[in-house]
Amino acid sequence: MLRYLETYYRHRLLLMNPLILAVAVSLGLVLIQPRTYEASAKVWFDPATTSSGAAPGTFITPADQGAAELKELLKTRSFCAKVGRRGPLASDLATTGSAVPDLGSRIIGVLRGTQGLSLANPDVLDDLLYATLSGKTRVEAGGPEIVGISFDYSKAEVAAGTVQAILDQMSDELVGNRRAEAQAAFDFYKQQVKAEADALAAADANVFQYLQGHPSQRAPGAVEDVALTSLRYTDDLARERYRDLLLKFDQAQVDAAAVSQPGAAGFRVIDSPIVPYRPKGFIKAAAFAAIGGLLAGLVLTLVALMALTAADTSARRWEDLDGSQLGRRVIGAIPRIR
Amino acid sequence: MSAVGQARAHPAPPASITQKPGNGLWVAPAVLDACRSVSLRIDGPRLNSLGVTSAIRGEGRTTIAVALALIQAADYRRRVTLVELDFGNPSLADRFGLNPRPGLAELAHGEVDLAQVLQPAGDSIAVIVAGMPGGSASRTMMDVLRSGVLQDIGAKSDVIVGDLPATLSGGFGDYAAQTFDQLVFVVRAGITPLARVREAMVNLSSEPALVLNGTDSSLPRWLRAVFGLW
Repeated sequence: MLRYLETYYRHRLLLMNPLILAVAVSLGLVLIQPRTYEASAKVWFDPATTSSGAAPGTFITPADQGAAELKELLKTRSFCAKVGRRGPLASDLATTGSAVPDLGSRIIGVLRGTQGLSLANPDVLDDLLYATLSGKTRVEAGGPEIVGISFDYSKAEVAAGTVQAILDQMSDELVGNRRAEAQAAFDFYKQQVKAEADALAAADANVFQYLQGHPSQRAPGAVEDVALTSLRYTDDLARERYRDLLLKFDQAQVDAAAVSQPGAAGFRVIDSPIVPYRPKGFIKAAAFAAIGGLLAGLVLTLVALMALTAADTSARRWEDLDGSQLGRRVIGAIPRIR
Repeated sequence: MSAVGQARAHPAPPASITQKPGNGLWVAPAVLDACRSVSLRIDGPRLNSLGVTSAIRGEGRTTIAVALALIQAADYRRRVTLVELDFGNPSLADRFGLNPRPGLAELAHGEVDLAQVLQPAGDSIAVIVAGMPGGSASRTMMDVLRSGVLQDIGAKSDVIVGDLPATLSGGFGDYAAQTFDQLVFVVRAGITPLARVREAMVNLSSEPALVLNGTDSSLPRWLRAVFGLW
């Protein structure tokens, strides 16, 4: 302990260098990073139109479900590519030639071998859009029905435009899904209604024909025979099924029509994305960098201190000579003259 | 007035032999104080010869030798001859404004007699510098040891203090050390690796007294107080 302390005080300036350098480098890295702007939007998911996908016995809020759906969509390349091209992101990437111009992403790009690829290639651009959107978009449920969506980018306008594009594309995807579901139901019930109408007509015709062939059954107060009763029963069943199918067909028609109405996606934008007027979290990033640099510097300083102490094989105190197994007596110490 | 002369005029030895540098032999007061303790521990008042050596050069060998010689003269009132045996790296003449020749080398080769090489540095202290060896330092050292001039010098004074070469410098310092009753081995604090000290010790036939030179704690005063290092 004493040796380490003596080494530290002897090489104070030298040992402070790693600390100062680490903090300076980490702060410098933060300073040279491009400013990031965060655009966000708040969305309200309608509990009435949100179909719960919860397992039996569990409950998922509309916000959780909506957030989960959007997160899943953001994990797909096609959705991200559509969002990027729908908003200003794709054109900005194509003009700036860089996905996310921060140092870390550049290094990762070089390691992956994607750095320097031409963005004129749609596949490269799609990959870049996917990487950017899936990495820089955050989706969080802020309550039972409210979902927050935010996107970070180096340009405020692009960030806001991209959030809007996410909302629009999500709406299209959800509406598209619902429209497809409604259309499928409409087509199904339409076919069923037609088939059941034919069956009902046939049942009616059978009853009519039987009565024509058996006039006694038409006389007032006549007791129905077994055959007529069976035919009437079949006819009643067909009518009942027809009525049920007609009701479902009507509902399918209503659903199909509702999909074309505003709000059909099942959510409504509460806070629209606006162009952020100030960069995001610079002080926070600087503070984290300073703390990180300080910790890294401390580690370096400790390593250097241990190395210096280990490298110092000279005798500095009586104890060093006594403990060196020289077998000789130390009779005096002459102080250093300054 | 010389340093030793002042010591006789004024009873307090420390003040007398710590006069300003440039006026005869001079050693810093703090070094002298520490060497007084060293001298007592090696039974300085009764010694006839005392050699000061080290493992490598630059450990403060000459300074300690001068301090011990000054203490012998001023504190114990003894006739002292300080002999420089470091032929490879002589420094006494330069440091204290003495004539660089003739010296011990010339005396050993019989070119001069003893009276010609003794340079007074006070009433009771004389210095013999290394001189200008014609051949190699080690050969000159062998000549000195063979010629018996050290015994002649010892006969003319109460105590002879030898400023020996570093034992690992190849100047036959370890052989020269054998001719002295007591050997003081100087270790420069914070400079000399312990391995070199160990290596040097192996070559010495007699048991030397170790002196740690240039000790200096880098700790601040409050921390030294915490660790009890006052």
